[in-house]
Amino acid sequence: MKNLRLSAGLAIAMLLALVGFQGTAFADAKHKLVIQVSTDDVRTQNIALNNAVNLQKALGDDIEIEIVAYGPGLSLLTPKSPVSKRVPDLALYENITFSACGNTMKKVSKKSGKDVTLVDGVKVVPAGVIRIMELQEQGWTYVRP
Amino acid sequence: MTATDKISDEMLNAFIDHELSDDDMMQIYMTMSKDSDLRTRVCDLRATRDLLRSAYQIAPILSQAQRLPSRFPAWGLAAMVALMSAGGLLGWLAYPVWHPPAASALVADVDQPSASRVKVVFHASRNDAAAFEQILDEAETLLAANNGGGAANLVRIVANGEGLYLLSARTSPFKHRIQQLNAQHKNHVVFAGCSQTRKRMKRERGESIELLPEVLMVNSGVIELLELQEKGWRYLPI
Repeated sequence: MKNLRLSAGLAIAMLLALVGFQGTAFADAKHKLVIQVSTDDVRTQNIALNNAVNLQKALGDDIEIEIVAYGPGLSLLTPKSPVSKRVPDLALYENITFSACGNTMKKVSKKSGKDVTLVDGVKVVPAGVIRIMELQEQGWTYVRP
Repeated sequence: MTATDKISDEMLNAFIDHELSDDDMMQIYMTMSKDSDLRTRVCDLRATRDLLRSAYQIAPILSQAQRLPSRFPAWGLAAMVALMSAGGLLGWLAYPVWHPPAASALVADVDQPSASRVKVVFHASRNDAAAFEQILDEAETLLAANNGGGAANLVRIVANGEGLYLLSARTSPFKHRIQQLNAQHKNHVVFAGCSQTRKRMKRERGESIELLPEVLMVNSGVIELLELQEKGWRYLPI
């Protein structure tokens, strides 16, 4: 009986460890893809979002997607681009993340003298290119539409 | 006996799941480009697999939840969880070892064709002829190195979005070069077009794009890019 209780305790401990280890949601998604947006071309920005939507449809929870916008591509995540209207809805998917380049934001606000406003559901990373590089080093695949 | 008869369903299923060696994959791609029956079979098998996948996404979760407690005693469960944790940890620790580095020197490989082969997937998503010409030039350089013997360099050129026009039988400015490259390096180069794009263009613009006979149709260009990278292919977009 004692043994049984011990193993039950052990099981729960292991389970907790397992859950803790997996950490953030979708850390164990089968496919991971980072999409680069570095242009203010509206058509390309739309294609990037279409890619994300189609992949989410085709692979469901099997994929985790991060869209990294920097340089002129930052407009995708600000009210400046008409495409940014689509972003908040897409950001509601648990496995789609939007990352704005902090360096670009600093540059833009220095030039314009105003803070950059991002649309809802976007997080800021220190540098877009470094973010893409880091994700690739962690085994993420990469697409630039 | 046609080529189609020689390839079993098991083989094709492995092909669809990208489980074959690169050479076998290439062999089937080549056969497919000439054999419309085989293309139909691959499409059918792929559809079946997708159906199965979507059906099983819901089913196993329910049945496991119901069955587990009655079938497995507590120690069994404990052992299972312990194994899973250990496996997870092991996998996590081993990950950096077996996973190919994303950014490595492509040029170094090209300089020494016999040392190790290079697998490159080029991506054309814009109808940009100048950029595509550059892709063809680079592909040609990689493929020309194959004459030196040793492991062969492999090239795949995936077009989606507006890039599909570059592989269109009507609009491609590179019909001749594509045909030539394909004929010269039959076993080492594949041109692939995205059928999702083709469908979308038909739906949204009423445009029906006929692809060059050398071009292989893949279900989704982006998924093709994703899966090839996961298999260690280098990715170069234009």
